[in-house]
Amino acid sequence: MNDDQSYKNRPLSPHLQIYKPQITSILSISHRLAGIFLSLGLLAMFVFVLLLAMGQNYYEMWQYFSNSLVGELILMGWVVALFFHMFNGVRHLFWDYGLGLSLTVSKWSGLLVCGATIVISIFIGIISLGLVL
Amino acid sequence: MSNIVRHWKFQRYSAIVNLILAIWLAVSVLCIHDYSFQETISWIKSPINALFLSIFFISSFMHMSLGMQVVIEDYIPNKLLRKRLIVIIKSLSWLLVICSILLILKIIFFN
Repeated sequence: MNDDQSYKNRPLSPHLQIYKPQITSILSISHRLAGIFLSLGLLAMFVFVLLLAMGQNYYEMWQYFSNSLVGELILMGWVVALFFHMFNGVRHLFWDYGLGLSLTVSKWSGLLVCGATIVISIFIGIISLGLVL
Repeated sequence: MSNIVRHWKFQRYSAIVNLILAIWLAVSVLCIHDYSFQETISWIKSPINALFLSIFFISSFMHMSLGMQVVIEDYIPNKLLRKRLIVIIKSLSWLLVICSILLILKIIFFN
């Protein structure tokens, strides 16, 4: 089998509006959206290290961002996206081993992912509020 | 190993490394009390933090590049544009990985 050929002629995914929204499909697209959003977070982390290496004056620019309300909301958004992507990623790893693929289990594991994300986000939110106050 | 199998495997390897290191990062970030310049610098200067942070950058940029490639392949119908975007993402990831390690080394040795 010529892999390179099949790679070139690979069909595109059917677009989203084809599907009826269900928890499984919503989590699937959210996983991608969270991944794209986290790419920006990784770039921000790079900028953080860059400003830190450039010296104190530049680092204060970062602090100006991270202490602003908008900055804090964006940072919290990255925390939520990170844990969601992480938990849902573990769900994907189980699927790769053929575990939890049935409709019932994948619905419940999806709900579990949402629940765990909410709990840990609230937990981290409270801790970081405690650090601010 | 074909490209596709390699892509699939590295996406999973980097996912597992990221899983471990993201937990480490979250705990570390919560343990730094005030983010003064000096405290953050001394956090990075500790060898284990510098090592883990470097591995985190390598593994995360790899995971990002592989993931964005799949998204681009799925949603960009124009073949030429698709190819170019993937090349841009890959080159950018390599560039930023190298720069981030150099920046960490700069902080360790010159701060």
